[in-house]
Amino acid sequence: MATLKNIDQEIEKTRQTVEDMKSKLDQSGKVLEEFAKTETIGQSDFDIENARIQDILKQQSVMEGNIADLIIGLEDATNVFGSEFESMKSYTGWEKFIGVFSKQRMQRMRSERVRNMSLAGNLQELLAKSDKIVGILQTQKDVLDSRYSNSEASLKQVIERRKSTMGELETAQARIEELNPLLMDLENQISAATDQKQRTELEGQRSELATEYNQMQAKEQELLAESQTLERYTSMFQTFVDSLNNQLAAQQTLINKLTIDTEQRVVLYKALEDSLKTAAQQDVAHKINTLGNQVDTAAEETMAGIGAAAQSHIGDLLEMHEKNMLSTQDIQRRKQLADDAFARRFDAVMKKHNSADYIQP
Amino acid sequence: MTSPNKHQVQDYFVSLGRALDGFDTFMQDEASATSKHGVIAAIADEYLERLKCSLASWQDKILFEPKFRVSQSESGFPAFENVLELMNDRENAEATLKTLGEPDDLRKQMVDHILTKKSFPKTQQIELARRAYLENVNDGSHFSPLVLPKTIKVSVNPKTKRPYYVVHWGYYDGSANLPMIYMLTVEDSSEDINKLLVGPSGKLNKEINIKLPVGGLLNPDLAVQFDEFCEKNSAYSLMPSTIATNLDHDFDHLHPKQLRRFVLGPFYHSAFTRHGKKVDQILARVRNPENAWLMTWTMQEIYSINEQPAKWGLWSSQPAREEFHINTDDLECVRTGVTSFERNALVPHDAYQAIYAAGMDEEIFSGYQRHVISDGHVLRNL
Repeated sequence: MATLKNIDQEIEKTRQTVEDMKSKLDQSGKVLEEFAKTETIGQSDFDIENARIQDILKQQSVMEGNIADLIIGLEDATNVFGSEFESMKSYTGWEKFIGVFSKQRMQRMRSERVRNMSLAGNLQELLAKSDKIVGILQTQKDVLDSRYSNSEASLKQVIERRKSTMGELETAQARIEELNPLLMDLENQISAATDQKQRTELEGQRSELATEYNQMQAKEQELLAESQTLERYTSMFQTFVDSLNNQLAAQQTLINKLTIDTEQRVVLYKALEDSLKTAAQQDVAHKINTLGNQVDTAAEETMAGIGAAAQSHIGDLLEMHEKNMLSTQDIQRRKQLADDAFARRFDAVMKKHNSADYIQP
Repeated sequence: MTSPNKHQVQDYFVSLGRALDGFDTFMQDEASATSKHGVIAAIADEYLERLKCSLASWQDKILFEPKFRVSQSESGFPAFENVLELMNDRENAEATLKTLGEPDDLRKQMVDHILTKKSFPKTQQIELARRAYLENVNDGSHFSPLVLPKTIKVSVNPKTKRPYYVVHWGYYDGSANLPMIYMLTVEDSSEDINKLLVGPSGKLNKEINIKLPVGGLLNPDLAVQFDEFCEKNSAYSLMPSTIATNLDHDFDHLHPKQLRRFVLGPFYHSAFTRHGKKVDQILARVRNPENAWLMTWTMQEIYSINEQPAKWGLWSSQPAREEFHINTDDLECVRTGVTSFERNALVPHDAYQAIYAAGMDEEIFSGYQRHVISDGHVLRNL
């Protein structure tokens, strides 16, 4: 099980990255929540946050790639079982050497070897490994889930804020539009006024209006700036939330692929082990059968009976096989779906893997 | 099978639990009939307890991890993967328990969560459920892929003057998804153990106090090897004759005299299994879903009729070998490599009525001994 040990290290590494990722994600999420609540928004905060989110997005894809790599690595490592099975079908060098002297002994040695093979430990190991990976993925997914719902709520809040800012801006602008002709009107009235008292009164009115006009203009500028900042926030956090959503889907794909892979492997390897062991049993039965045919007619009659029984047995076997096919078909179908989704999402990893340019188990 | 809803899964567990209880009742009834069956019933009881314990754990687990697979087409028992997972959880239980919060803390957190956030404390609930599950898994004894052998009886065969043991072990077959119980009577001709166990009168040495049951084979020299043998040679696809012959060949000093195998299942349930249309259709007519099941089990037995004595020569030598009796009059016995076998079916009263009313009685139960269960009582051999 040397190969599976390697995987252990990889799992540990991935777990570390996931932990790092989690704290970063938490930070960004919290900042977003604060943004949604606080009144003042500074430019410097924005730049830092933007940089951080970009960083997270980059690392996130790297991490997903890592995990996908890990899953493919596990697949490769378990293929070792396959070669173990292959070796069961053929004879070892020593057995072949013995075969030079005695064919029977050679066969006996092989069936002994097959008989003493057991996959129980390997299967347990395999299950433990994939369990660990699924555990990592699941915790990551839970974190993403809660982050996603929080961030989405915050994002909504920000959007609402921007809406209200826009409303305020519009009222301010409308007021400015109103004030403009009023001021002009007053100016005209002032220039036309001859009475000192009336003029002073009008001057007072104009100064009041002018102050309001200036205030409104200042407010317009302020609101404009706020709205622009909020707009940038919105788009930035929209990216964040979108990426969270994407990651969630990616995690689900990975989890699906891994669970279905494991399920299929357990079923498949058990079935293979079984078929190999029963093949050895069949060998013996065949030998008895041929032996029986050589003995005498009385025995032959019995054998005919056995033959009939064997016929019905084969019928049973076929039926069993059919049922087995049913259940494996179901697994196959689900596996196909999971594999397709995996291939779509982790195309790059698959390519890398196919060109053998990845961590060798 | 993925669970479509919790209700249905509960139905499954309830039905399977009832079937196992029924089987237990049946075995206890048998036990009171003859003393020979008493031993069998006691052994079976132990494994049934294990199965029930496993079921309880799965039931716990489904509360926080909604994934449970049942072998629908063949056995109707939980898929092998679940058994492996349970073992896996058991191995990691202590470590995982340390990472989870203390129950009192969690309860406090739940109250805080409800009061401050005004929502349901789901995460805490899941953590608490996980905790309860792991604690049970850690304490209980489950039906593992291999339940290690145990020696429950030691005596001396007066004819051969060899000590013999009664050993039993359990195995959850991975490809057929069936739990099985093995019981073996085996004679031991190892010299050391003979000196130790057999007194001068040819009876069991009274001075030796053996605390039964003993884990593993009684002979300590062979115990480890025997455990390994059980792990590798207990698959459902192997005939009892193959297993007995293998045992005879692998251990020169062990002489298997009788091997019994109980195969529990298949288990049929109208909502979960897809065995055959007929059975499913009839079971679907049963009104109470908790009674819409049918459980079968098979007892297979092979025994030795003769032992070829060992030959120790200069050129060729052979240890003593057993000759097993295979009943060639019965083709089914030949096919499955046994001396005799017995098929049993246990049906709830409602379901039996439905089957009888449909006139499918003979068709479904031919070759089976029928037992009907109603209110915890078993009507045997209908």
